[in-house]
Parts: sequence; C-alpha cells; structure tokens
Amino acid sequence: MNELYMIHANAHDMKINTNALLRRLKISKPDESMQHLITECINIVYDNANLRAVYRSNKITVDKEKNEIDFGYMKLQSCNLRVNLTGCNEAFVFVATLGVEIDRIIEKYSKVLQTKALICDTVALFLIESFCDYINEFLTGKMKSKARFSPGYGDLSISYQKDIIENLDTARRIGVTLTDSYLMVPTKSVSAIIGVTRRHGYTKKA
Amino acid sequence: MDILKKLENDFLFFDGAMGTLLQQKGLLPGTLPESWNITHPDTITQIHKTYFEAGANVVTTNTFGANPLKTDNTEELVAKAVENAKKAVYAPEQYVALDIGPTGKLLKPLGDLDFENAIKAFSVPIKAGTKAGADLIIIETMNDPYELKAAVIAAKENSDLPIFTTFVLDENGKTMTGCDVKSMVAMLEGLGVCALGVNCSLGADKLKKFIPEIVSFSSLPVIVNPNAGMPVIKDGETFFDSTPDKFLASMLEIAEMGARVLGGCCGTTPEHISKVVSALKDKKPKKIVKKSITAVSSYSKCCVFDKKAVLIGERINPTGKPKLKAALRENNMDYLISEAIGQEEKKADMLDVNVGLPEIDEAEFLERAIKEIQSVTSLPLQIDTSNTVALERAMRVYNGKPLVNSVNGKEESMTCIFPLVKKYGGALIALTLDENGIPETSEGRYEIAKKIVERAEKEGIDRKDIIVDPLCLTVSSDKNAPSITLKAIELIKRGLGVKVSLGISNVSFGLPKRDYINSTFFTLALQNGLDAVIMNPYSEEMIKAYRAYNALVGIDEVCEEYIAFASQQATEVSAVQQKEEMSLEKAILKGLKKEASEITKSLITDTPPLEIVNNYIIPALDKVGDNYEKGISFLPQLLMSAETANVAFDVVKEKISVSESNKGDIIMATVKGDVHDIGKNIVKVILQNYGYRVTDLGKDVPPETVLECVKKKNIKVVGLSALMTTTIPSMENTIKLLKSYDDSIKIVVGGAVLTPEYAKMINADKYAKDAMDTVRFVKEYYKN
Repeated sequence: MNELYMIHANAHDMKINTNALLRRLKISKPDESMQHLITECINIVYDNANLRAVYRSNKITVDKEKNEIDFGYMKLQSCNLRVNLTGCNEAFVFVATLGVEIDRIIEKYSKVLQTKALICDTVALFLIESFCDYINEFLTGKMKSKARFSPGYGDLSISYQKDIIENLDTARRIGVTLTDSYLMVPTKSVSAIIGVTRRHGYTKKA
Repeated sequence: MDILKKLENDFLFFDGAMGTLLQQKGLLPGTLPESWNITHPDTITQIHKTYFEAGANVVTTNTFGANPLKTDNTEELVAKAVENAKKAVYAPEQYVALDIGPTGKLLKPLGDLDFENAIKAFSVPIKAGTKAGADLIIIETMNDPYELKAAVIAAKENSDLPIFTTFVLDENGKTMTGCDVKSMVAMLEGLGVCALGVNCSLGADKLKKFIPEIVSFSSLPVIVNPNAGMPVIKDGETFFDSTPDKFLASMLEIAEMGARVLGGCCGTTPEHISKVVSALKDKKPKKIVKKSITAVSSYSKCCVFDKKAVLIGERINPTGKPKLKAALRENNMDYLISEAIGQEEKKADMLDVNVGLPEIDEAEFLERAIKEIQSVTSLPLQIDTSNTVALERAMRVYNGKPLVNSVNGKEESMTCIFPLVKKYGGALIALTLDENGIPETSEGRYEIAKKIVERAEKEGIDRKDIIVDPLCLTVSSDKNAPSITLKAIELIKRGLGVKVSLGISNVSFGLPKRDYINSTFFTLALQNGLDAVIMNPYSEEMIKAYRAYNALVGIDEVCEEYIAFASQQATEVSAVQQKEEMSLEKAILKGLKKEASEITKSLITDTPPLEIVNNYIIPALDKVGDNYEKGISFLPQLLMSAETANVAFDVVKEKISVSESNKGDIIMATVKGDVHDIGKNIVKVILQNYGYRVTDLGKDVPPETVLECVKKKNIKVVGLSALMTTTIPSMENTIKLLKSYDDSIKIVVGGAVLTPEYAKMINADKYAKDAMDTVRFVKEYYKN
C-alpha cells in the first residue's frame, strides 16, 4: 500500500460561495434572522469538518472493445468513463470526506431543528465540493486533465465504490466505509477518478 | 511463563508489520493477504520467525481482515494463521496473538452495521483462533469505540484469553470518529481488558505526545505500536519518517513515559523491532501506578468526577411528568430526544435516562431510548432502572462506559447488578438502603455504603467506580433529615474515599417554591463535599447556586464560567424587554420561536385552545404554505415557520388532549438500506404542523417492521422515502408486503431518486414531490 497518499486540509481554507449557497437554498433575499441562521450553520459545518482524502495514481490501459479500464489494481467497465479517459495514460483515484461529525450534527438537527439540518446539509455539500476542487487542483496542477468522474455517473456502476474503497484502504486511512447499498459513510464523502496525460518518462509523485 | 505474569515485571515486545513484508515476498495488490495463510503457509511462518528472532515476544497472526463481513472462509483462514504462527515459536516467552482488525463497516446509527451483528462477526475469528491455540487476543487499529466495544464483548463471550486492545489516534489526539483518549481508556478499563494503547496511523515521533495522557489516566499496561511513518501531504509538502534509528529514538522516549508493551505497525520491519528490543531488553519498565479516577464516558466525551460537581440532568424520567408519560405510552422518541438536547444546551454534564412505566415493555424501550439519545447527544448517560433485564440490554448497547443508577445494600440488588458492571463496565450509584429500609442516622447510612463498597471490591469492581448516594428525605416531614444527609456525605467521603452523589429535589417535597430550598441545600451539600447531583438543569436557582459556589471556592478560576453565565442571563432579560409588538401570525411567518411561545402563553389565558389553533396557527400556516406553493418563500422559510408553529402547538397541547388535536395518523419510514433521513424528517415536521400524528419508524427500516406497525396501530396511510437508486428495490419490497397484507393501504413515496413514473412502477399510490404535496395527499385521504 506504499502508493497511497493522504491529504489533510483545513475547512477554513476552502472558499464558500454564499450567493451560490443562497441560490441552492432558493432564498432570494434572506431577512436578518435567516441570514443569522445561515452564518451560524456555515460556522458549525466549517468548525466541525475534518477534511481528509486519500489518493493513488497509476498508469492506465484501456480496452476499447470491452470498454474496460485497467488501473493495475482494479478493472472498471464503463463506456462513459472510457470516453472520458480518452487520450489519458494515467489516472488519479481519490476519496475525500468531511468526517463523521458532520453526519452526527445533521442527524441531530434533523430530529429537532429541521431548518438547521437542511442548511447544514447544503453547506456541507458545498464544502465537500470545494474540497474536491482543491484536491483536483493540487493533483493535476498544470497537467492536461479530464473532468472528475465518479461511480454512479453514466454507466459507471455504483457498485465499483467497493473496489475503490477497498483499494484505497479508506476505512483505515480516512474512516470512509461503505454500506450494503454502496452509500459511503460518512455521507459527505466523494470518490472520483481524474484522467491525466503525462509526458513519457516524467513521473512526478506529489 | 504466563503472558500476564511476564507483563507484571517486564517489557513485552510485539512484532512489526505483516503486510509490508508480504508485499516484499510478492503479494500482489488486490490479493487478500489472509489467503496466504493457506497458499503460502511457510512464508507466513518464516515472517513470524524473523520477528521472534528480532526479539519480539509476541507475533500477531495474519488475520487482520479475517471476519465474515470480508471473507468467506474465516474459520479456515484463522485456524491456519494460528497454526502458521505457532510453528514459528521456538523458545519460551514467545506468544501468538490472535489479530482482530476492524470490520471495515461503520456501525449504526451512522452506518448500517447493527451492534449485535458486529459482535457476531467478531465472534467467528475469536472462536476459531481460540480453538486453534492462540495465547492472547489483540484487537487493533480501532477507530470507533462502539466497534471496539463489540469486539471486546465478542472476546469475553467466546474466549478466556487475555484481551489486549489498541486504537488509532490522529494528530489531534482523537480517533477518526471523534473519540478522545480518556473516553477510550475509561470504556476499556470498565470492560476489563488486560492492556490498552495505540497503534497505526502516526509514526512513533508523532504518536509519543499522546502517551503521557494515556499513562496518567490508565492503571493498565500501555501498548504502543506505531507506524514507521506514512507519506502525508500537508500544505503541499510531503513528510516521511522514519528509519529504524529514528523509530528507536522515539520508542525509547515512549518507554520512558511509561509504556510497557512496544512494537510496530505499518511499515515497521524486523530491523525496527530488533533495535527496540536490543536497547530495552535488559531494562525494567516504569512501575504502573494505580489510579483512583472516577470517570464515565460516551463515544466522545469523558466525564471525570473531580473538584467540580457533576450535573446530571434528571428530566428524562416519567415521575411527575405527564407529557413524558404520554410520549412513552405512544412510543414517541421525539420528546425524549428534545429533552436530551435541551438539557445539553443547559450545560448538564450527564443525562439520567429513566423510562420505567408499568404499562410499557421497559427492556425494549430503554434499549431503544439509549440508542436514540446517544445518536443526538455526546453527553455520557446514567442508566436509571430497577429492571435488571432492561439494565443489561441498555448497558450492552451503550456506546461508552455508563453510570448505572442504581445498586443498594440489599443482597438481591448486589447479586444482580455487580456481574453486569463486571461484564460491560460502568460506574455505579450506590443507595444507602437495605432490607431494613433507610437508616435514620448518618452512621447507619455509612455502614451500608461500606458494605456495598467492600462487596463490590470482592467482586472485582474498584471502589473508584462506586458513587454513594446517602439519600435525602423531606425536610417538611423531618426537620433533621437534611443534616443527617449532610453528615453522611462527610462520613462516607472521609471513611471510604469514594465519590458522593445526591438526588436533591426530594428534600423540598410538599413545600412551595421548591427550588429555593433545593438550591440552598445543594450549596450546603457542595460545602460538605458533594461530587455529583441529579437535578433539573432548567432550574435557574440551582444553576445560580452552582455557578456562584464554584466561583466562591475557587473551582471556577478567574470566575470565567460565572461571568459567562451571568452575562447571558442579562442579555435574555433585555431581549424580552425590547420585544416589539408582535402577533402570533407574524411570529410564525418570521420563524420567531421564543416570541411565538410567549404570545401563545398569554393568548391561552383567555382564548379557548382550539380557537388558537383554528384562528391563529392554521391561518398562519396556510399563508406560509401558500407562499411556498407560489414560490414566494422556499423550503428553509417553510421549515422555520413549521418549527415555530410547533412551539405554539406545544403550548396549546398542554390544555387539550392529544386526540382532540389529532386529524389522522400516518406511518413514516426511510426504507431499508438508506441511512440518511433528513428529507423524511422534513416531511414529518410539516405533517405534524397540519395536525397529523406521525409514527416515525426512523431509517434503514426493514419491510417487516413497517407491516408490524401497520398491524399494531391499524394505520392505513404509509409514507416511504428512499435516497438511492440501490434502495428503491427495498421500497418496492415494502410496498409489495404492505399491499399483499391489505390492498387498501395507501402508500405515498418520495426521495431524491424517485420520479412519478418510477413510483407508479413500484405500485405506490402517490409520488409526492415535496412536503406540501404529502400534506395534500394525507388531507385528501382523511377527507374521505
């Protein structure tokens, strides 16, 4: 497992686009108490998130006939992913999470203060998304790369979560586990594949 | 020599990594390491042998991932693994530890693995390894105290081998599930493991800073099995450690801090171990100091009974609380949950949980209540019951080390309670009464306390885990009652060296303004050395007495807590004074709960309750609902108003019966496989607003449970939610089961992945796009 790498980050370094957040919550002009509540929820989520990710990068080979991508340690079958990875000779696979405390908080509020639960849930979705952007940027930098692709997109079966979770040893490294129905818990977790094109002979291990 | 005997005087050296060496020997990525127990037994034996030759006393079997949730042939893998390890033994004082790793699943309520199923899963390798002849069990790399507890229970129930346990800390000194060192240690010592400590995750240099805390809190031998270091990227930089020499330097410091079981985890090799053994083998470890720290814990918080008295919230107890009684009878957890959260906000340190009512199945209900309450609060719980079956079930599923309320001096009580504490761990409230009742003198109560403490120690329960309650009788019937109790506190503390707790409120029974008496008596008891109090955290008089006392005797250094408390009181008062002219409708529309509650309270003095509902609350809600439908306001505002209306309803409900206000019943559940139910909870609160009574079955609910509830309550409307495409089949099965039982049951479904077409396909009666849509459906149903 020597080829597994970890990323820790501070939530407060992640940007939050409040306008986009308001749009997602469908609030056009928040009054004072709503504004106050939103700020409170942002603070709760940012203070309690524990941002961690684990990744590995490997050369990939693609079998066009079978629509199969071989990562060396796992093989995934998907036409959409194959198309996404066209021209790439390597792929990063990562799993990122906000940690289990965020689930606990949303669970608690969803039983007594549903508004808070809803807003915290939305803030957390924004935060994990910005964390993924941060990881994406960190991994690929100026390299030519493809858009992130996750199990469940197109025809990439969600059951491949199992292969990713196991091969990235996520339970031990970052505490991400899978339920029998392939839901990652902590629920604010993302798994993704990013195809890149590296020049021959150049291997930069971050 | 017996391993525990050796541990009394010497260091014990564990081996290093297995996986790293297997990879060097050609284990391919993606291959299960445990499969080599069968395909490459000689290689495995050879690796163990290399570690013994390096000086390790203990090798861990190649069974980290062997459990029925991950492997099909667990028994065979484990038996072979133990056999391979035993073959490597060539000298005395070489031991084989059965390695038990985590299941790789998260336990309920956050994940989908049931606590009992986790125990079952751990039992399989434990039985197989014990049968195959392992010398001890090492439960390692644990992140979640709940999972660790399941593993220890499995080991206690299926093996007599010594149990060693290690957990994983991150740079913040907590496990990934948020558990701190003290909480882990309190729970593990309570469960009676033989040694405890940390492994994996960090290199020895980073792990060492947490060792003093473990050593200073625990009375057990401390294990430290760090990684050789891992590549971690932080702020764009990669850190690596560590060479065998660097590893050694840190391990020597760790030994100096008092750890006595030393070894390695990921990345460590026989060379790492050999260096450590050579440097320490002729030295003696530091003496283990026995601690007398009284502590209980939850999954993330440890409550230590120290200088500052512990406040135990008493609100979850049906005595004298008609609303809680009604909630218990209706099997309604929401009320308990809000009481738990409310008391936590009022800064209680712990919560008492008592759900004893003659007409309910207490064992079942208490277990459920504990599970529900520990899913919304991190405060440690006091399990309060006289029913031992209920107590055992609650102690088993409790996530931490509980406080048990209570044992007393009666033979029967001690015989029943002590074995449970021995098995599951816990501190105990000991009441000073016996077969002859409550002694009238302080000395008599002291004698009973002494009897209980001595008997507990004979049963292997340390006196630090006994908290004596010398009981307080009412001052109105006996003027000497308080002074007898106060003197007993002193006698017991001085004579027995144990902690003392009191249920305060009884002293004022039968008197007006009871809080005045309670709070002054509380101050006197504190002055006499009281360590904990069972009280109402909402009582201002009690909290005032507590904060003021702590400030006056210097427990609250620089009066920080007192000032925070006092200034909060001041802002609350001025906020009330500044309140503008406000109507109930406006309060609900704007989502102002405090105002809504106050206005309703003043309205109810001269307005009939149903009139308030029909003329004030419902019209306000209709307006909110209307705004939502028209797109003027959105879900957050709708919810805020709904929550506010619920506050107003609560005031009204005190004056009218539940049946009067109930417009109809609906059962709601998030289907099996789904562990996320925020959407369902939103729909629930809106339905309650419109006067419907919701029986909420929670999340991850099997079809049979829904059917059972339909039968039991004779409710014909069911709402189901599913979040993921993978759980829609589970929704379909639930619908099938319900419809085959009774075709007239109406089922409304919703959730992120559903569409009207899909709902039709799985035979639901209605697809609801949102909460208001569900309300309309239920309204329509009950209209007919």
